[in-house]
Amino acid sequence: MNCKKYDAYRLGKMNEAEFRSHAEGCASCKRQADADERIMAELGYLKRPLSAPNLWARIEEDLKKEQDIKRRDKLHVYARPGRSKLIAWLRKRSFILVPAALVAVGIGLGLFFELRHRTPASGLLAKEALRKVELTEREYIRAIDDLEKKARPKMASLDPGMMSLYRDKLEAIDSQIARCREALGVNSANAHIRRYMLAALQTKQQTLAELLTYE
Amino acid sequence: MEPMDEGQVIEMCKRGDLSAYRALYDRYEQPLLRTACRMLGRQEDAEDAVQDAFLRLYRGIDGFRSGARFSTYLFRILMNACFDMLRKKKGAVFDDFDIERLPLHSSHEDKHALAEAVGALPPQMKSCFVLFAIEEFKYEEIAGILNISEGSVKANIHRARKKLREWLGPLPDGGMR
Repeated sequence: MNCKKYDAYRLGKMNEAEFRSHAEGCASCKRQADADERIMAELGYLKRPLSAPNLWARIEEDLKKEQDIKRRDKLHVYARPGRSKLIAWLRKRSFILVPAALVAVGIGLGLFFELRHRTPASGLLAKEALRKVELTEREYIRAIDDLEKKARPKMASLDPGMMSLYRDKLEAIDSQIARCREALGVNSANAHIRRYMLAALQTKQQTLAELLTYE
Repeated sequence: MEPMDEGQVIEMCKRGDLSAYRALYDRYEQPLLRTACRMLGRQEDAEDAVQDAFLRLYRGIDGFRSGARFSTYLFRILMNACFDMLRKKKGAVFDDFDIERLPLHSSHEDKHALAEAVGALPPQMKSCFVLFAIEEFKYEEIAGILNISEGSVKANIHRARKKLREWLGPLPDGGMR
């Protein structure tokens, strides 16, 4: 039968001095400690040097291949100024962009569903103010539509990659605007959804302006 | 190559300088090979694991934070490479320490017996024991390498010792292991 104090010592529950003094009078602990010491001494054999003459050459070859892949990736990015650069830029910032996009989508959906079920009495604008807002909004939308007409030929002249990126972005904004309009159909006087729609319209305006100046 | 501070070597590695990887290889080749050899049992598998570890190091070196202990980082990569290899050919390794499957050794002078016994330990126990007993890492460092608690490291090493004593049997002078 092995003395449990040896386990306690090895598991750090008993300090060395305490154990040594106990082991002097305990044959089981002494035997286990001696056996372990012998095993540890014999392990010296496993520390002998090993010879692997070709190993570095194999590693170096792997690392060179990896370097080539990195270089090619870089060249690929810079050879295509449009989409590749944008993708590289997005990839570099994905740690910020992905959570930001998720938060934005979450807020958008939350707002949308909340506004759909909100009673017309909440967040109401005064009647006169509402009329002014709607007027200004209509003018703003008209101006953006004009801008879009101007931007359309420019978009058609872009390389397919950039064209699809801009198209996707504008479609996403348009669908946001459409959702806002739907929510405003339920409660046209809700100031929050108006602000949300204004933000979408501003984003669309900026995107179109960016597209027009894109070289 | 002039001996360089490890921090400088790592910075050079981050810039993709292969001579810096060579310097790391020269410094760590033996401990890495030895550890992988004990973990996997065959030198050719150990060489594959070290090769894989260097490739993983190259791909992930940017994630190494200065101030952290590099040897712990490198051995963690190696251990992951070894565990992946063990998982891939699970049928070829013992799932648990199995005395019946090991050849009997009458001579305690036969060092191969000990090597085989160490090789037959379950992977987690073996990794703790090899890092502690052969590469002389501290409990804390082993815990960092294997991402387990220090208590678990101690328990694994203790159990490994017990199993080795069980298998290796009585000492030549009549005592018990």
